[in-house]
Amino acid sequence: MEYVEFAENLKLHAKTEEEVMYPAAILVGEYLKLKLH
Amino acid sequence: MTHTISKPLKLLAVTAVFFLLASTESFAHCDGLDGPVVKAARQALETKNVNLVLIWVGKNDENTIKEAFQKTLAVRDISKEVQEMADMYFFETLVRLHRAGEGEPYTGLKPAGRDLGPVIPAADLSIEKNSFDPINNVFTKANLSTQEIKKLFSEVIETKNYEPNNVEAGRKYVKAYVTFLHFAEENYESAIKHQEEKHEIGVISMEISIPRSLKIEHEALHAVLAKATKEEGEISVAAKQVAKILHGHFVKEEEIALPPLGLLTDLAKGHIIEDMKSVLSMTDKLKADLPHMLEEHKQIVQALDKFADIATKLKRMEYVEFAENLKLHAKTEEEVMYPAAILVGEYLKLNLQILLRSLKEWNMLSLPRI
Repeated sequence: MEYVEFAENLKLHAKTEEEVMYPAAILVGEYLKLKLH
Repeated sequence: MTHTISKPLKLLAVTAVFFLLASTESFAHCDGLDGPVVKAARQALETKNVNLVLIWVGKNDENTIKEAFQKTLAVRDISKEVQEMADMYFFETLVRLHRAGEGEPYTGLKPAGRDLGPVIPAADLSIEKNSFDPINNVFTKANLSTQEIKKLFSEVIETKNYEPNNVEAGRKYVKAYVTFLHFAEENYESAIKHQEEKHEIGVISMEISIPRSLKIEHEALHAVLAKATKEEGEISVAAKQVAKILHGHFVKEEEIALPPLGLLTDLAKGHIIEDMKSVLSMTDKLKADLPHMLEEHKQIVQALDKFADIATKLKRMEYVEFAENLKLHAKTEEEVMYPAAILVGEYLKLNLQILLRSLKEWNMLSLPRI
């Protein structure tokens, strides 16, 4: 069961990256462009 | 980046989950005359088998229950009236000790046929039918994630068919049952309450929802902590201490820190609409409250360290791991989530200024202050 749990955790981690981390990283760039423009 | 007005964002209902772990409010239906505890008591008296009710109390209260059971059996054949009184005495003793074991006050037996709302009957029906569907339907309609409740339901089903005289196995079932019921009721009630509050104060014209993955992560942490508070002894006390500090913090987080992150996906795609500015009240408040929220993290970590020490001593490694996970979660919030939420606000301010300036030039609009 520990590997089942691991798989669930990894899927959730991927989802967090899609919903938060990647867009946040893009936003950092866009914000900097605006500020530095 | 071009300023495109996106298709209207979905007006998703905010279903932030406030887990009222430290609340003294009475939950579930264990004090009802038609509830599971009294039902077990009636069956025990009819069959003269005290084991059927011992599962509803801790080991320390076994003797008190056995004594009350014998006293009740000794007199209930005298007359119908005596039987009613004796039975009621036994029900009250049993429910009082059961609730004390849960850390809940005893406020008397409640009449049968109360309106328990949709979630408890659905939870009981799910158990009775061995089907996740009834509780799944209630959670889905309330826009609640079903991941954790499904796990808790599985634990109930796994422990349900115990041998009636195996008190320890019965207690495992009761523990799974109570955890399942409380989780279902608390999550449902909190989501409904939160939706009503939002509706009443009309703060947000466009609903902004917490990213689903973050909600699931919070719920998973909540579920383990809820389980720990239902343990016996010092681990439960330490868990309740963590929950006490965590409660207000989570409420604030789910009000101001996490919903702005729900805009990230659209913002990263360049989709910006004016309605998004409703998030600015959250991000400004987060920026102002940040030092206080970081201070609360320190208090939570201190409480978690104590909890982890006790868990280590008792060799409850799942709780040691939980404490580590929650500390890491707090750190991620400090390093990523809170700054990202504030960035959402700052980025929107810059973009909306530019957008409104353009609109002013094209349509002679007056430029509102943001």
